[in-house]
Amino acid sequence: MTLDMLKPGARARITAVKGKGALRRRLLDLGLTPGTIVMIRKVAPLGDPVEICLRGFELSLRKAEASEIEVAAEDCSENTNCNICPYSKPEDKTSDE
Amino acid sequence: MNKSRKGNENRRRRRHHDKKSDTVSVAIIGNPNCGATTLFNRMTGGIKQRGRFFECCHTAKEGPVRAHKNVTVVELPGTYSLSAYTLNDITARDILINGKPDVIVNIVDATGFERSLYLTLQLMELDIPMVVALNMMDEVRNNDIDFDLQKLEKELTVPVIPISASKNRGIHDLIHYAIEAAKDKTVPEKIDFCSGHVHTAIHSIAHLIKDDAEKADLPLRFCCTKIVEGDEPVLKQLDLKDPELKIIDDIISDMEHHLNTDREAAMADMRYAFIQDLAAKVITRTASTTREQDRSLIIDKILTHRIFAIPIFFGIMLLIFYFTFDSIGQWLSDWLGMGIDKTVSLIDNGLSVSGVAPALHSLIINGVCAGVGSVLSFLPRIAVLFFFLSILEDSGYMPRVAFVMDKLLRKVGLSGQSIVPMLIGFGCSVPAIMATRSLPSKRDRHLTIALIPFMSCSAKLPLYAMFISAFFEDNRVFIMAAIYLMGIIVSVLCALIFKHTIYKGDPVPFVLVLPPYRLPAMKSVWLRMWENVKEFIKKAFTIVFIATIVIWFLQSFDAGMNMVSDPDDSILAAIGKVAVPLFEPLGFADWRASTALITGLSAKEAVVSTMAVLTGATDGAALSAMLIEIFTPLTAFVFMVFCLLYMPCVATLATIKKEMNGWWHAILVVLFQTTVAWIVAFIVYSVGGIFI
Repeated sequence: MTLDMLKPGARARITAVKGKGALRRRLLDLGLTPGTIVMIRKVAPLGDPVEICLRGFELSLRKAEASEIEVAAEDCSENTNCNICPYSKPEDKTSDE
Repeated sequence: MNKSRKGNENRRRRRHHDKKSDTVSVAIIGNPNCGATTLFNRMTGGIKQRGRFFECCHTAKEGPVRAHKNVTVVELPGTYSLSAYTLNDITARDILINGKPDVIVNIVDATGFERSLYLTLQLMELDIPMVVALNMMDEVRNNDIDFDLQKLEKELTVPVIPISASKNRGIHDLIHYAIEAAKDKTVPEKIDFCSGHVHTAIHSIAHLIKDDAEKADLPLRFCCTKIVEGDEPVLKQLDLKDPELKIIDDIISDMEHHLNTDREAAMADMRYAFIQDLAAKVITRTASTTREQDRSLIIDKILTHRIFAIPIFFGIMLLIFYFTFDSIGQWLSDWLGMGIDKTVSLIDNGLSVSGVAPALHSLIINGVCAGVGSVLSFLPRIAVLFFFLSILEDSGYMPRVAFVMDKLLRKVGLSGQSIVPMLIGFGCSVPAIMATRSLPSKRDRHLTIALIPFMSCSAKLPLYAMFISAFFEDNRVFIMAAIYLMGIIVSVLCALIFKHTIYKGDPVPFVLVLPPYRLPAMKSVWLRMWENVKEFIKKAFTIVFIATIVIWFLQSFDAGMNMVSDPDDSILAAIGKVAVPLFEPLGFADWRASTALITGLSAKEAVVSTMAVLTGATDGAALSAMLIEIFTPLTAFVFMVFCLLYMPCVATLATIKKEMNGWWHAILVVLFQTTVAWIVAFIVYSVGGIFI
């Protein structure tokens, strides 16, 4: 599964960052390292790019870039001390449709 | 703060450092939007000067530190990492490594701790004394987040000073410890955030390249980690020979094999693992989000809403232009205009009474006062426009605009990030072109730079206002909107043409951090507005002033240096008439119009001052009356369109030359824009002629 397949509100754990060159460097520098939990915040009004949340900040990237990031579904609802993404409070059901 | 600073003994003394020891240069560096500019303004009071880093980087701001003699501070462009991704990253890295500041002030956003620390860990490898300024402490305290500063200091082996740049807290302490660190020359210790195979690889490489790093005058540890990451520039600077390169390759492939991952991921992973661990040790928080982040999410629900986002964006831009041209800007401009008229008539009377020579009288009143005065009265509008643009920039809304508009802009071959420089272009093309440095691809940068001058800059405002008050007073808003829209439409069309011809190429990545919305610090907004206003006033009294004197002289004398009674016989008329045939197909064959266009190349405001001098009009009403004699409403509009699109002023050209590396590009831009301007103006004139 890759990051672009997820729906807004979904959480996942990064398993690998594919691609190469400067873009990959950038993604890794910004903290999209394997094991990191990310959440899809929303999709831009015109359907692309997407906004994701990780390590307590918001990042926007295009679906093309998101498709380079392999993820595994993660269920945070049981994990109460999921601090990797401070926004992803388990009780947070207010995320956009 | 009563923290012990006795940890200094166990910090390694820096070996080579023997520059003039009486001056201290401080370099501020941090992530974008972490408050570096606010901190810079707090430290300097907003004063900028050319300093030792000016030669290598024109975009870095440098200034003297307030109340500290011989201490200067430079603000490096915001960056997330020392790997070279955007031009800004490259600049920051260059200044740190080649410029060798005496001390680094690493500004860390305490609310975005993990991401900020990633840069900190890299800075610590540079063998430069360093102080961490933990910013946004006001937000941290408001949200009951607790930082164990002593522990953090101990773990990082550098002083950590809690500050709040926007609230002006902790700045004194920060300056004090920064200077002390610089004088002490103690550099951060090498903390071992790596374990296992990465650790082994770094150490093996360190032994291997020790001499090369010394020869190239590069910090060893920095070289090692960058080599593990596979950073090209470092390899090139070290100039390694074949046996070493071969051994390095072996070490890396061995490491990759054992870790079952690749070199880039391995390093990033190690750093973030260390940071996560550190964050868990030093931060205790009761809630997982801060109030500011929650607030940001709510604002984003509206401003990046699925349906309303785009209408809201256009609404905001319209409102800004409304304030600039109509309400606030109009009132202020009227007042200032009245004041200028009063002053001019006072000077006029004074000169008549004292009985100076008629030529001098004419020079002062018809030349300088008419020219400079007509330009100066537009000052309030420019101030208002820059005030709102600065608020947009500082509030965090700009990245959202990029997010919302990206797909639309991609259709014309640009990226969402291009919209930020384009919006700044409505203020002035020069900072707009500088702002393209945050774009990651060269193709995007060049395309954006080529289109920025079509965004009608504030210097063209006086010109539109002059024609509107003469011809279109009843349709003021409509004509103004038409002009701005025309600029945008032409730039979209040109972008489309470029996309299918010279700037083909792949869509570039769009990776952009969306910072939380913050209330802009009024001081920063004020300073930025003041900088631009100052620039405008300076232009009015230098370039425009000189231009008006030259124009007055050329139009008052003929080739035999006799004062002429009819400007039609003057030298200037002779020059202007040469250019007339060029503009004949556009409907304005008057030599005064073509002359104004030529002087407009020095600064666009000069078009207005030239018209004022050439028509001999001393106030707005007289100028309007004279313009009606020269232009018809249609040719007036065509003239405005031509001014909107034709080649940018010299300041912009110089910036284009600098940013695109060479006159060749600048000349191309000149030819391209003037041609486009002529064609569009011709179309407008022809089509308009059918209807009128």
